[in-house]
Amino acid sequence: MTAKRRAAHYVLATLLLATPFVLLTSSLKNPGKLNAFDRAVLAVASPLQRAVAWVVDGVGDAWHHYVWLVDVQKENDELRRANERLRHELGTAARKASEAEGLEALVELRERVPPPTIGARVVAVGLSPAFRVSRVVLDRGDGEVAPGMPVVAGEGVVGRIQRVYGGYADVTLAVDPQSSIDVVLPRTTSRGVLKGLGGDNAYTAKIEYLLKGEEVKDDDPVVTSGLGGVFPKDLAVGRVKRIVKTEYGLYQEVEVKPAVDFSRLTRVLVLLAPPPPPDPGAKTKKAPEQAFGLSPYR
Amino acid sequence: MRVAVHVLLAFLWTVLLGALWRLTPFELAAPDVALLYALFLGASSRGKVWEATLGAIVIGYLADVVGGAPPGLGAFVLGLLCVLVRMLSSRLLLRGALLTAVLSFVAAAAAGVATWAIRAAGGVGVGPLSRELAVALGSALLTAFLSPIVFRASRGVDARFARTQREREALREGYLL
Repeated sequence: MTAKRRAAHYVLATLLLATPFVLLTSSLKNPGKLNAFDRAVLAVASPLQRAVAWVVDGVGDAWHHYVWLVDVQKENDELRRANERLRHELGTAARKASEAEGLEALVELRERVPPPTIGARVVAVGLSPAFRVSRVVLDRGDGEVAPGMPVVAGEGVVGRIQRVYGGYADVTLAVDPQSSIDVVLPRTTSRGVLKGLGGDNAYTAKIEYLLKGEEVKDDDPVVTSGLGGVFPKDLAVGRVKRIVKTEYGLYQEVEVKPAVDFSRLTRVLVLLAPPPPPDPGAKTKKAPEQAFGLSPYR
Repeated sequence: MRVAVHVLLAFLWTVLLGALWRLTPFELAAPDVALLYALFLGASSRGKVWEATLGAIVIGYLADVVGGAPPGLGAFVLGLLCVLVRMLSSRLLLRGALLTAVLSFVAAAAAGVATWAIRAAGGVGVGPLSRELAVALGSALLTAFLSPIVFRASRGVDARFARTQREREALREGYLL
């Protein structure tokens, strides 16, 4: 190729370079404007890009949803373990919260109840054939508590200590047929004696010697009267569940649902002395004997 | 015909890479395949430099339209680079992956700077120079990394258009004639 011909080629190339320069100047003036050729190019390029993107996305989805399952399985196992651990922690936290609530109620009760008290933990329960708690065993024994001492929980009356053996004490529940507690209905101030029914299906008791004329209603609260010489006054016993008035007889039958859920008892208070009797000559009487620094109930 | 095939391949590469590049972790910088084809055309033009320049301009224009740049910007830069590489290759033997990568890196960086300068001069919105330079350098590195593959594929295309056996063998051995 001659030098003249080569130079001509370079001149032509330079002239060609002027074309995009002119196009560029024009496009800079109207940046958004597309000519027919541009639109044709885009019409060809867009479907191609869309098709490629579709294929790539499809392959990616298939990879992530069907092939890359090793990590999913591993992650699943980890999540399951974490879930079990969290459930366990949640259960523990709920149990602790429930215990804290019970303890709080006991502390409140302790401040409210006049006689000295001692805390006790329920270490065992006796179950009826229908899986109802018929008695509870406390971790307080000889020298700490004595038979006949009242036992209360945050919610209300539990029962009385039936016997003490070694380091343990059996409690007769308020719903036991052997139990007998002097109670009062604060709304009507009517008195009666609460006796356990010992039913297999539910924890219930009945109020005996409640006169027919007393206007008792469902859900009326029942509290201790403090007159039996065992329980202090105004401890919650339960609520009226059912009232039966017969045509004959002096008294009405009133069923009571106890305030305490005996199946969930964990901590209780044992009242170490009877409530102070409203005896004006009490000052002249001899003080009760002290045992281990505590005043045992007699 | 040979130049037209390269233009078509450059267009397809640009379209495919544009669709696939979003899957890679490189967000801003992308290899400039159009530039590699323009370089190849410049380095392998057989006497008729205007033919290669025309091909580079068309490649640049298509890349502008597909990439959303002002039409003519890439065309002008790639056409200019094509002429410069043609002048350079008449004095240097361009052979081997390393030399190809170095040439591509320098050319891509220069194209990046030139593009930034033209945009700035034309009043088109540009970012800060430091950021633009970082993107241009990243793009130049990726372009250099891809260049041996594109050049090898382009030599394969050229070998099909070779007129003699000697020319074909030279292209297969990696010479740019």
